[in-house]
Amino acid sequence: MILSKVQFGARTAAHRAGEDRRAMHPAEIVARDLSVRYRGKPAFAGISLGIPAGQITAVIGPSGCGKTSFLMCLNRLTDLVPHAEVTGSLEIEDLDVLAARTNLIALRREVGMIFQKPNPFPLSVRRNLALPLREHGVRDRKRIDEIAEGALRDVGLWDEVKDRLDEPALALSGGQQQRLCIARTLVLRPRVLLLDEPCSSLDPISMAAVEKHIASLRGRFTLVIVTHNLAQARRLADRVAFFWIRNGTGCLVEQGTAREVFEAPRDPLTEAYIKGLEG
Amino acid sequence: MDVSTASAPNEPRLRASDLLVWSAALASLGVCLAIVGHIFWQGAAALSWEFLAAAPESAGRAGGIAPILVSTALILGVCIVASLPVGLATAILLAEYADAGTIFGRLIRRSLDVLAAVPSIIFGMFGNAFFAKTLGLGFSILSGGLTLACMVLPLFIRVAEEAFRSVPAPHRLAVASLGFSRASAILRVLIPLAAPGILAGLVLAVGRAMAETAALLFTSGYSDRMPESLFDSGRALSIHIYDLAMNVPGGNANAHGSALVLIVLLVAINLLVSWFLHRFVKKGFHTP
Ligand SMILES: Nc1ncnc2c1ncn2[C@@H]1O[C@H](COP(=O)(O)OP(=O)(O)OP(=O)(O)O)[C@@H](O)[C@H]1O
Ligand SMILES: [Mg+2]
Repeated sequence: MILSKVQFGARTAAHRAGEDRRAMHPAEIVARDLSVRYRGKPAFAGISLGIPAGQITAVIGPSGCGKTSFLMCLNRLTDLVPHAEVTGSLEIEDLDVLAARTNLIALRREVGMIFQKPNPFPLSVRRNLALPLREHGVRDRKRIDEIAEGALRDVGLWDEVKDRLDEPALALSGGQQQRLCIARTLVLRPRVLLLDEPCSSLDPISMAAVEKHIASLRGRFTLVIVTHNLAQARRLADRVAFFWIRNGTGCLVEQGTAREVFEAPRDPLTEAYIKGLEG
Repeated sequence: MDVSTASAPNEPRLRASDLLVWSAALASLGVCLAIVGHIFWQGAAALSWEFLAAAPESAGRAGGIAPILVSTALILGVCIVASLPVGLATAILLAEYADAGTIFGRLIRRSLDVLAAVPSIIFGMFGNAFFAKTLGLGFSILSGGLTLACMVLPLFIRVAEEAFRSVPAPHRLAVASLGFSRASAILRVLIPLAAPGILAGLVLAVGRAMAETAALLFTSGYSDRMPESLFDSGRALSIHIYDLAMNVPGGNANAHGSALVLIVLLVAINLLVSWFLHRFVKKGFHTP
């Protein structure tokens, strides 16, 4: 009930600010022959991958195969890396992500990203959530509080922090900080959520909490999660994309439903990787 | 000679190099203590509430330093108001827009280095020619403050730029991935995050400006009357000390009194800021 109120609130606020009229549904992503080069040296190349709307897609593979780079293409954070060059085609619904005229601010509002290490701003919990909302034109304090509450409930943090909203976010535990970061992205009602090893810096209990709430976002957002934890990928993912390194360049070896990839991998590399990591 | 004894850690032998290092350290500590001690010794006698609250009499030999304190504060105020926005903007430009490699960035950096190496008397001459004469501000607090602003700018910019550069990369990624425009990323996140460093730069700059004499000689002037506006000439504390010590026979006691005030002010500002920074950094600057 609260959620629907909050969504409604966010929508009217966005309308009021006159910035967009997008429908709030998860978006489908299609990459074709996508490559990234850093100073001319390819990090990964020739990746064609469909990521269905509203599902959880896990990206797995060894270190350095380009998983982070792949995520960073999806919201064009690669633009921040000097001498990074992205080629190929990348579409999120009908938006051509790589086009020069693409509005990066609107894109990044639709495609949120969570990083390996929780990175809340050294501000109060409340201000962490208010800052992005204000930036995107939501000024009304009551509405900001409503949206913030909804986002905190989405990540199961509301009951834990509702009495500590004005305390520094850095005083929260690592797992709480990471969930706060997810909430900070959710206040903007993105359609895609990119998660780059969101649990790898957390203890097992915090990890379980974060994981549980990521799972609960299924259906309302398109989630792409990079993880080195295959058990986690098994628990969470609807689909799996397996990256590998060939000749120093990342490539996509196999993609499919989680069941296909884990139970009946087509490629021997995939099989070896999964067997190897699971003992 | 047995090599093993020379390097044996369990045998505390005072070596010549140790002696040298220690005596050098003690010497510099001694010099510092000697200066501060001397000023305290000589200046404490002159110091009183009346000294701070009264106007100078007979060229400063008698009376106090009230107008001088006011002039000093005004000159520093002008200096801060002028250098803060310009310095901040330049620091942002250097740290956020101009890559270290670009010709433009290099040009600005190089000219700041040159500016930093210019002796302050040259700033004084420039201030006199430009602010006092060309702009027609005359010998005034405004001329003096603006000249000081030019002088401390390189220092302030360097420290502020460093403050921006040391904002952790994860925060930059966070801001970018939340769809902040570059301008509001700087305004709403980077400046607050860099604030402690910016403040530190400002304090360094103010300290430098407060201690300055040569740049003020030809700009803010000597008048020891209470200034009525920024267009009045006003005598800064350091000029007062210089004048009493060099030009006024019998002015020594009050020169030392003024010097003591100057030192106490400098130390107080530094302590205040380090206390403030400590709180600021430890608790996070969260305003609800
Ligand atoms: N900013 C950069 N500049 C140059 N090379 C980079 C940069 N970022 C990544 N690379 C290179 O690109 C390749 C892929 O890196 P990426 O971080 O995407 O891998 P990853 O799969 O996320 O690895 P990990 O599992 O360790 O996080 C690596 O060889 C890496 O060294
Ligand atoms: Mg990575």
